[in-house]
Amino acid sequence: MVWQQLINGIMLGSVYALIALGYTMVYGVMKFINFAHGDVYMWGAFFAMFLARFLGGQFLPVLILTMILTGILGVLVERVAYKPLRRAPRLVVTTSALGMSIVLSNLARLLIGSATYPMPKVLAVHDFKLGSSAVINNIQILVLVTAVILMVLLNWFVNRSRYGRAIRAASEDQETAGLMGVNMDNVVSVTFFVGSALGGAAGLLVGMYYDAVYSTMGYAAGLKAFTAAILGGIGSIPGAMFGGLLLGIVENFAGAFLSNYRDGIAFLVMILVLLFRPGGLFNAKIYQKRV
Amino acid sequence: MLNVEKIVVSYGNIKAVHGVSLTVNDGEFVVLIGNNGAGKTSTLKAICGVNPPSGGKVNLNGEDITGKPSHKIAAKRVALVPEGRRVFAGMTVRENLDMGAFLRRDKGGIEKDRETVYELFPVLRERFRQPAGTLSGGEQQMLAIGRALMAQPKYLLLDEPSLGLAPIMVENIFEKIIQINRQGISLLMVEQNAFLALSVANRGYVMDSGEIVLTGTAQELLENDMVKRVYLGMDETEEIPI
Ligand SMILES: Nc1ncnc2c1ncn2[C@@H]1O[C@H](COP(=O)(O)OP(=O)(O)OP(=O)(O)O)[C@@H](O)[C@H]1O
Ligand SMILES: [Mg+2]
Repeated sequence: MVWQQLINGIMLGSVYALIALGYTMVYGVMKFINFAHGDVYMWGAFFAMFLARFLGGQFLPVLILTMILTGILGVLVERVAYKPLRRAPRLVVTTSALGMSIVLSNLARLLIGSATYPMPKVLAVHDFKLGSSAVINNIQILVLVTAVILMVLLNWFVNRSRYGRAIRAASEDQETAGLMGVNMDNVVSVTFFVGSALGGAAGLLVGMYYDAVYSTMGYAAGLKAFTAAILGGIGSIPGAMFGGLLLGIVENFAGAFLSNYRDGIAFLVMILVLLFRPGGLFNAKIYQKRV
Repeated sequence: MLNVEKIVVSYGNIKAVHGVSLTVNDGEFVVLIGNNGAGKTSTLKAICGVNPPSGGKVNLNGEDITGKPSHKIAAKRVALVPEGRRVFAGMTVRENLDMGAFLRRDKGGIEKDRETVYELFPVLRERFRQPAGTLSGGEQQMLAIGRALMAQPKYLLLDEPSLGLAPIMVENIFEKIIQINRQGISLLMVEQNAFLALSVANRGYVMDSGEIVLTGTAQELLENDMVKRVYLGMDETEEIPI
């Protein structure tokens, strides 16, 4: 029982982490919460669904194309809804994000429909017994492995690549990053592309796992992932990863023992953490400096 | 030649700089001195495109760069060491230096220049893995200068490099700044410590309430009565301490 919950929690948490990264990266660079991110994730799930129908059961091409398409959608959202507000107060941009969230989910309902759609199978399900009580299936393994690989790649990108460094520098101090020759427009585009692509990957993984894709799936997942990002310390990349995992695990245990309070307990944990560590568990440096 | 012509900088209704003109010739070491709030930082930021001037012109070797965004001006080999150093605190010393070389793609050249910076400021080599935020104020100033050098600037603008540093550290950093100038990099340095600034520079400008009120060679300014009284804090009868 405990092991089973832990496995489910880690799996769910790794997906929260993928989505949370989009919130935290955008916050780091632009200092606002992109409330449309949950809906970008939902669109990612739809892109994945269509691609999987079209390409059949080929996981890797579906994943890569989903990430690219969702990344482009994120960049477009930024161009349309946030770029004209680059110098506006952050509250205005946040409001624009809320509007964009509504636009994206309604657009999905309008263009695709409001039903719940199955995700075409990329794998036949196989269960594996772990010890005497826990079970894990190959889809869960695929979800977890993919999420971990993507996070490792992201870590490499942010810490070792030229643009990754520029994103971190711009998160700390935009003005000085500009003096180094960093073009903020490019940094913002790259940030939105990468964050949204990770969200798209999460859309595919969740759609696969629950075998369900629907136009409102971004709300709950977005809110949870946002919570995970706050939990870890908004603006902090390791924080988002850790916050996602923690939230997934807590939620699963809460669901197992107090099933009616599953979501409530997840938020309770967030409130408790923030009461004692207002900057989140990983206390992003950026956050410390601004408070 | 960097040529600033009658630039105006405003923040909302407040005019911080009204009509400042100055020139930095190739290889020259020019200082800009003046009291708090005179508009020195605003002038440097206007040149670098951090807050574009609302009037006037900035010319770089005959090319009009007025109002260009800071990343474009950085590409023209104009670098600023900002007031208060502004190192990227959460990034390592090495990463800060790499950020200075952001626009460069010549790996070998970057490596070589990093070595040069480490030779100029050996403490940076010792601390290269350390987050810049954990360095002392003087070390951060060295890093800010080193970071600017990584861009291979032709014009280096320094905003109060002595700010908040102990006298011995100031001396050390000024020696390095002179060395940088000797390598052929033209300098425009803002400095509150007028005596120190004028004793190392070729020429100087004195700024007050958003305007240039006096200019001349460093020697002329050191001997000027007004400079002596207001900026060097001396009676007219007193000798310049050497
Ligand atoms: N971002 C800003 N918004 C509003 N006013 C500003 C801003 N930056 C500077 N000022 C004002 O412009 C004037 C000139 O400021 P500036 O920082 O250029 O002076 P400074 O000569 O560098 O002073 P210091 O020696 O103290 O650094 C000051 O009156 C200052 O209050
Ligand atoms: Mg200043």
